Amino acid sequence: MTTAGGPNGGNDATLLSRERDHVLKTLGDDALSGPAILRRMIGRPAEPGDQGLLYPALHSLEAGWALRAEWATDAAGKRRRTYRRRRFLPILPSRTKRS
Amino acid sequence: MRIDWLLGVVWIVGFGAFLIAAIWLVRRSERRLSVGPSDPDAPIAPEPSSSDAISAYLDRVSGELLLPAADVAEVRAELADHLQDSIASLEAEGLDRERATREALARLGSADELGRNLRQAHQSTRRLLAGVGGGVFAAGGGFVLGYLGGVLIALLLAMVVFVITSVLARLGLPLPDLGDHGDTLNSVLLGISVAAAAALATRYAVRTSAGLSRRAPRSIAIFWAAAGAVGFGWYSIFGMRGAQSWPGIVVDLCIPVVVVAAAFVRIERPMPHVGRWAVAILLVSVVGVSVLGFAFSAASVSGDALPALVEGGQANQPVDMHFDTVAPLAPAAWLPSGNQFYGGGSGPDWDGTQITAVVGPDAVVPMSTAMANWHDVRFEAWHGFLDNPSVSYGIDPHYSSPFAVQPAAVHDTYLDAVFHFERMRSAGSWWVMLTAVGPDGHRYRLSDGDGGSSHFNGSAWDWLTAPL
Repeated sequence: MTTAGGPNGGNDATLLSRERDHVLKTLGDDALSGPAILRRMIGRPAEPGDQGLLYPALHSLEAGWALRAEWATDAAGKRRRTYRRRRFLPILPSRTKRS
Repeated sequence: MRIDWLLGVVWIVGFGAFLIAAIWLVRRSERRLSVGPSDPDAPIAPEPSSSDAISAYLDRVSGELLLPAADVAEVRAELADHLQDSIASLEAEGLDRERATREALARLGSADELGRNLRQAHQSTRRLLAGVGGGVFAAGGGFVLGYLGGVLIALLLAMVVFVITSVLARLGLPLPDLGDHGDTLNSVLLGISVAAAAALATRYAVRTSAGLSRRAPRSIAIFWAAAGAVGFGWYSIFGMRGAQSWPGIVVDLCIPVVVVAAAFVRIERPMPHVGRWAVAILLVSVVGVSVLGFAFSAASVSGDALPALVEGGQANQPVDMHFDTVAPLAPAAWLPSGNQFYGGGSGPDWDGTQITAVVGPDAVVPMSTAMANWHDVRFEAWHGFLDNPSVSYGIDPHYSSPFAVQPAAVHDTYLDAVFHFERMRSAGSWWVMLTAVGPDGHRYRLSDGDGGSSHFNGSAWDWLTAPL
């Protein structure tokens, strides 16, 4: 995974767009923090800069009203910024799954 | 008197709702601009005890963010949490603390690049548009609130001036007589009110648009300062009409400077907020002023009516009105059917004061016939005494020439001319005479004219370019 920025703006935009899609797919209907989303991303190579686009993608999705972010306390009592897909319509009961 | 109560209620409710919405928007947007322990809306996780490397990394990210304080704090807290989590995972894989920290930082990539990417993610076009729209809306509310506040300040200043002048008068000290019927004070107070309104509007706009567009207030202030200086500067110089004076002009010309200062000076600091009681008092004031405004507008009498018309040839003037200062009365033989020209009527026009003259009421003579003996017919405006008729009346004999002259326009049955007394700085009381050059080559007065009183009514630009 490469990072955005630098002279190759078009390619960077594509990478960021791909990262956003990846984040949305990974997030599903759950509320997850950044590290939790990262752990869910299967097959992601561990290399320098591989996490550089995660937070820009999350924040741009939040700015675009695709995600809702809030500070929540996890089971360990730690406050974490968690992200959840923003839904403008209620989820149908048949699609509700137990988390 | 008929008052449209429905319109009044709709207007008052709508106006109140607009003010409340503007205040709410500003307060909500401002939450992003500051973070403090007393701010209950700041959802900031405490930054963990970081190593120097992590702190340095976060500092470099923060340096690239250029976001409002709350967003910077949020990003720092989130990245610190991420790094802490990542380091713990790497340590669990067997790395020592120092290597785990290095590895965790390396996976996030360049701090500068991450900061720039995060900034771009926050400062989206949608948020920029929201910031512009919200800023304009907040500026509208700020202008109204600032104007009301400015009026209160101006009234307090007026009371202070009144008290000082009263004390000085009681002490027997000579006070300068401005002789302008309060125009100086009115223009200064109006200028102060508009300056306060422009300052608050600009400040509201900067802080609201900074919060909504997720930009640092100082980086956005330059646009609002430029727009405000041009917009309010234009309004103060060309758009704000009314009584003017040199001190008032100075205040008007300071308004662009006030706007720029309001956009930059201590812009990061929260503004003193309008509390519940202030809102209540404001609403009561708005309602009260609106009701009074509606009541008075229904019963208003228009204008600076000209108080007296002097009918030509009538001998009911008890005092010498010094008409001969202008010119001797025209010989009856040269006048149509022996009638002096009727003094005519005058009326405030939307664009000046129209003075008319007709041939005496008993002789309906076509103007072409009436003017057979006369040429160079003109209306002459002289300084008069109308302001205090109990003291004197008519032409002020201290002047030996008119302060304005207009050639008479000849119509079928009347003559007329339009004077712009409201655009003259010192017209005050005036008396307009109809004069013409007779067959003997001398100038005579054809009527005893018409008097009135005018105050300057125009913009600062009109004042600056007005004839002396």
